[in-house]
Amino acid sequence: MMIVRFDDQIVRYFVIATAIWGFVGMLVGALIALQLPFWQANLGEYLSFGRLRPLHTNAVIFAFAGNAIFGAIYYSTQRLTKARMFSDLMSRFHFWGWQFIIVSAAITLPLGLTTGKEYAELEWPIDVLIAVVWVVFAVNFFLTLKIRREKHMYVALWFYIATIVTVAVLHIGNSLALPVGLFKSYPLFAGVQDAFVQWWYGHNAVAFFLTTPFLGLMYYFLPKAAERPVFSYRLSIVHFWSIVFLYIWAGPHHLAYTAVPEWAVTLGMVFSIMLWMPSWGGMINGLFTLRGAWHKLRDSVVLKMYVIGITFYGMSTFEGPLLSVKTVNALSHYTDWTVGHAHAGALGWNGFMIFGMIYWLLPRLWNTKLWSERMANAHFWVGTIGMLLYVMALYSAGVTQGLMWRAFDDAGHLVYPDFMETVIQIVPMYWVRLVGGLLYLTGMIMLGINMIMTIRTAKEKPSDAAISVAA
Amino acid sequence: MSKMDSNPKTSVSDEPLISGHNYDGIEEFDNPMPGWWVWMFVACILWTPVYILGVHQFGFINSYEDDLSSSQMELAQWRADYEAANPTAVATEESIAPFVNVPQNIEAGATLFSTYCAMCHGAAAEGLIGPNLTDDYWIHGNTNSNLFDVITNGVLEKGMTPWGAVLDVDQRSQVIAFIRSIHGSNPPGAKAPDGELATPND
Repeated sequence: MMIVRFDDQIVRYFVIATAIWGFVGMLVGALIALQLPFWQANLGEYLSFGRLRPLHTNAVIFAFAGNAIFGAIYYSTQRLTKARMFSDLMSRFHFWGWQFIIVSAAITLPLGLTTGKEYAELEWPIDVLIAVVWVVFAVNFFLTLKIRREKHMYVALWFYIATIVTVAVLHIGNSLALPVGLFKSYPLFAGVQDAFVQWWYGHNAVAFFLTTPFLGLMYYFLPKAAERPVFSYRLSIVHFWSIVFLYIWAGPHHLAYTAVPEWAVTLGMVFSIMLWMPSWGGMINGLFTLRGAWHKLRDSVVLKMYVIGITFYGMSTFEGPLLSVKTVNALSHYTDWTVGHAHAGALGWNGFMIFGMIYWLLPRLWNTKLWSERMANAHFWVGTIGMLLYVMALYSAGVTQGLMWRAFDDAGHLVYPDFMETVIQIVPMYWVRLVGGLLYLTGMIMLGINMIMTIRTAKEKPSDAAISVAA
Repeated sequence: MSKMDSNPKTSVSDEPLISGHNYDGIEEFDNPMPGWWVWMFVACILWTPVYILGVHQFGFINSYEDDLSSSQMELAQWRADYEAANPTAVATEESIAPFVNVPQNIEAGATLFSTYCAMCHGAAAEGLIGPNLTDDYWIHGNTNSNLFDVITNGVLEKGMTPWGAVLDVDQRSQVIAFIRSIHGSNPPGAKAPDGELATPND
């Protein structure tokens, strides 16, 4: 027999980074939510909406969700493979490299250094760095799989593999550009082709950064927290392969009613609709795993968070195909409905899956009890109400805008020919959205306090878990 | 394909686990996929070729162009019907003339001008993106009807917006009254002349 000690320190790093960047990203989100109805909150050039909006999206996606999925991957992969990560050095390079990238983004975006491509705004030197850090992460991960002591690879690992491989391909493909200076480059593709590549990337950032790693995370942490077997192995195989195959084609639905040829939009739309059931396969496998364990929800804030997260995964993956249908898109495109949809996924699915994971990990990583279960419960309610207010406000704002833009009077003229009229109409909804966002941010602060206090009140120094394996 | 359990809570214990699948304590049931899930998935897949061929080959589902042209025809018919039922007053030299030189019309026109026109023609009509409207040079004619037509229909190739759907006939006439009132005002920063030399209404 020999002892394998896991590297849990790297998980602690990523969990702490998740909480810090989550707070920062959501704070910036609240500020830009205020800037829309109250323009005076645009605090000069560097802190104006146009500069801060990409900072918000990059921070919550790549810093908050990013650090969370890395934490999840480092924690669960070592346990599922019964092996310590292949290289501690590579793990640390990954961690510090990623934090450096985030700080670079937080500096360059307010300065206005941007490629102008949504979710891929960072200029080429940072893009190169992302590629390097990601490849080191990939090498470390795959070499860990190579030295694994478990013959089979559990479903969570398949989702991690899909994530790591595809994000590398997407990031490199979409970032191909000709540098013309240290902070300026032009994309290799032009016009409609560039838009096409951009949304192939953009949509699959949602797929392979905000969906597949989170499904992997769910497949590990949900059965652990519920102490129940996974509902169906067969369903997990079929929905994994169908998600991975179908998602990659769905990007052009972001470009409906633009200069992109209609056949491409048709392709994006039909693949989006075929994707509906594969996505729901994940939701079903999650919720059905809780069969016979629903009574545990009363006492487990972790499971409550997961139920909200998985339910919102189901809702936003129904809404996604719906919005891709051309006639629905004709109403929803360019309205706040899209923003509402994105936040149903981000706040509901990604946020709550991360919160559930952190509340489960905190006592285990620091060998103690969670400082306050009551505060975690309060976080659950504040977060849920905030998220619901947020998405409801933007759904009604979006539909209002869409209907006003297409309203004709009896004489066949536009009822609201002046764009400003349709903006003024939705300002009250923007205030509701701000309140929802502030509630959600409050929940994030509660998590931060709970985390600090849990770590501070831990009696012993945190130690890394170990297992004994056949030599 | 077995039927989904209607009461999963009681049936959990006798479901088969997959032997040998135990990963860090996580086990997996050997349950079939829910039937409704499989059939919904199959239905979405089967619908795909129907839709693609319907739009792009056989035309029994409308394409963008089909939708656009049918909507435009519907709208044109709608407008024609409305026009037939409620004929609008047609603006003529005779109908616009009484607006000019009337202080309250000039004042109303000034307000409209600052809302809709000043962003391109300048606050004092000195010309910015659009031409100076205070001098003696006119690109599209200088009669009241000429001005009325330009305001109503715009000049697409020069970036002038059509205001026919926004401003009613009286409002457009008031804007003309305002423009006539500032002729020769020679505002500071006036843009260089553009178009043909003429005096108003000559």
